[in-house]
Amino acid sequence: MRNKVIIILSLLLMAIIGFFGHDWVTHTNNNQAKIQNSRMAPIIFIPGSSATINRFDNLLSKLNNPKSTHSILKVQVNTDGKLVYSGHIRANDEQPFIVIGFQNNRDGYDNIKKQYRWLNTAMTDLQERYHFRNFQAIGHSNGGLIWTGFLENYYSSDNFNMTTLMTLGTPYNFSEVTLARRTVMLTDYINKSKNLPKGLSVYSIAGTEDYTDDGIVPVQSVIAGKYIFQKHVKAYTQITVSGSDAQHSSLPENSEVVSLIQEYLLTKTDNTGRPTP
Amino acid sequence: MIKKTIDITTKLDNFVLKNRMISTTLFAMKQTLPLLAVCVYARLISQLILSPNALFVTLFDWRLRIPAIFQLQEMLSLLEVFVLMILSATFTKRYLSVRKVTQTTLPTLTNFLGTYFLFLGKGQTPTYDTSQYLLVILLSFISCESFYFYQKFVSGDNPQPFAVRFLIWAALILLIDVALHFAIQRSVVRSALNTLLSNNFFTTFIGLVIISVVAPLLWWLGIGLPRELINNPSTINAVIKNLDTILTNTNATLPYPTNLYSVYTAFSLFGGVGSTLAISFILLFSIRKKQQHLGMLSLLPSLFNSNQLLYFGLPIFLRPLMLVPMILTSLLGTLIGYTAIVTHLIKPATLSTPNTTPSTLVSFLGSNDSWSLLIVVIIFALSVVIYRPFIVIETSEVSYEK
Repeated sequence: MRNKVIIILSLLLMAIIGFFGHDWVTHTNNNQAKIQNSRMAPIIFIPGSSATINRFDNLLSKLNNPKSTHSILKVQVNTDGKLVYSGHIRANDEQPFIVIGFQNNRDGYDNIKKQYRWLNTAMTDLQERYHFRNFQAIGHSNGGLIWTGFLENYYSSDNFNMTTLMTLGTPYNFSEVTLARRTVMLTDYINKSKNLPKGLSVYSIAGTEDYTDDGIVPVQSVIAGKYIFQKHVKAYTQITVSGSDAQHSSLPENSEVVSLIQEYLLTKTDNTGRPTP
Repeated sequence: MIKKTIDITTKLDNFVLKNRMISTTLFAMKQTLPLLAVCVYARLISQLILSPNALFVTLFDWRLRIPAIFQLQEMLSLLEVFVLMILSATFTKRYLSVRKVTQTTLPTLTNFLGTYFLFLGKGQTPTYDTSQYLLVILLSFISCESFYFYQKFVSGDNPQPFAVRFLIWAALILLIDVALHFAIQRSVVRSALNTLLSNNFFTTFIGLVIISVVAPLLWWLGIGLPRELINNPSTINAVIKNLDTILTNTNATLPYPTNLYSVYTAFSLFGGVGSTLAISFILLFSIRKKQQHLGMLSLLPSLFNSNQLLYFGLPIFLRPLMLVPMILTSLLGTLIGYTAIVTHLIKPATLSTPNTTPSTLVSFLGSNDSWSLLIVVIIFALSVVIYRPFIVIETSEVSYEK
């Protein structure tokens, strides 16, 4: 009798796992198939500290000028991990713009750590909704630090393929003006740089107002990114822009930066908005 | 023919059991069984409920926030090593007693600590397989023998158990363990094995037959197997290529329909290496209470592919009586599974399944083909038929306990 009960319970356990396992396998693999076959490769933007999800509105208008070909989706991650969506992604849009912002958008390494954890939550949810695998990224100021933290701590090449990262005035060594003094954050990022995706192309854009900084971030702090990326990613390019629009907060609207985004990130389209080969 | 095979195996088994080292090992394994049971069940709970990618957490999308989960997993790893330390200490004490050595405290402590140094460095957790039983037993055996001859050679009248001359011996043994720690920790062997198993040869009939024979043989010898031969071999190239193909086009022809995952994992690993789930099942109906209890104790872990309790409790380690049916059932599973796939009777498993999925369900879940379950039932029934005569002999003869 006891053996019968044990065997029936074992079979029941197997049946439960079989039933729910079947659901899981079907759902997971359908999702994976959609992701695998998806042609969508969004450009995902992250603003710097104190900025909201509307930070890139001017830049996105310029990029969508003269013809609006890229739909815009904005996601705000609240401190409890809840996601608030606004805007939409048009059907068949192969390169939509997605802006991810954080309710807690404060500066500081501790906040950045929280922000790249929230970024992971947002990325997982975005993939679940829109089934994309390939994407490119732009981070302004601390936005670049959040992307770097995400890449080193959460990114998995099994799930995503990030091809290009462009950082605009990102202070990899915070406000340190000399490369000799490394902040804790820079040291952490350098120590984990082996986790960076090997196929990634990185463009680090620095602005100079007066040869030393862009008004806020020292050029040397932006240049410190080389210690993180060089030799760990496919390509690392350092570009410096100057002139009246090279001030830290103006960088996203700087015409040279817009040209760089158009050249390195945007897919060329024909008159109908389709990507050209 | 069958009777003759069983007779020969039994004779060989009795011969092996007379060996001092083996009988002591089996004694030590039985003594360690209660601690191992705690360890196995703790790991099972972790794999089913607690760890972030635990089976039920994945299936039911539980968002559990377990406090100090990493510390818990670290403790679990330590517990695994502690089992080996106790095994080594029990072996040493027993072996030296058999060798009529009266001062066993120092060598027992030395081997206990030596096993710790062998598997754990300072502030480290073992990242590799701790089922290196042969290594532990061999080192303990060598240490015991060296102590036996050393103490005969150096001891004068009534020596102190912790005399300097014995402490020198202990230091030497510990040094050897520390040196070996760095040798076995090298990842070269593991990555070489992964590369080897990724070879397309192991998608062929001969390759799979070799694996189904060699895997139980190595495990029986107490040699830690690469993870690809114990769990889901999802990192094997053939498995990844199949999954990529099926995800791109559901009706595409698979590049490698027969591979380690679709044949070996799906049909030769029921209950763990050697398809030992059948043993737990047979033991439930044993006439001996002790064996029945072992059957009950080992059944749940066996359903989730863990057969360490049988390995220690039956025991299986180095017993010819157990090796023969283990190889036969493993081979049988591979042969039937392979034939069913190449004759298109069933679809091969290609889809990813959650971690710790019972291997009896891998073929069904991985292929979404219900006919696979019928093949699983047939293989399991045949495994019971193969194991039964050997287990009957085993449960009626426990000569090494005498």
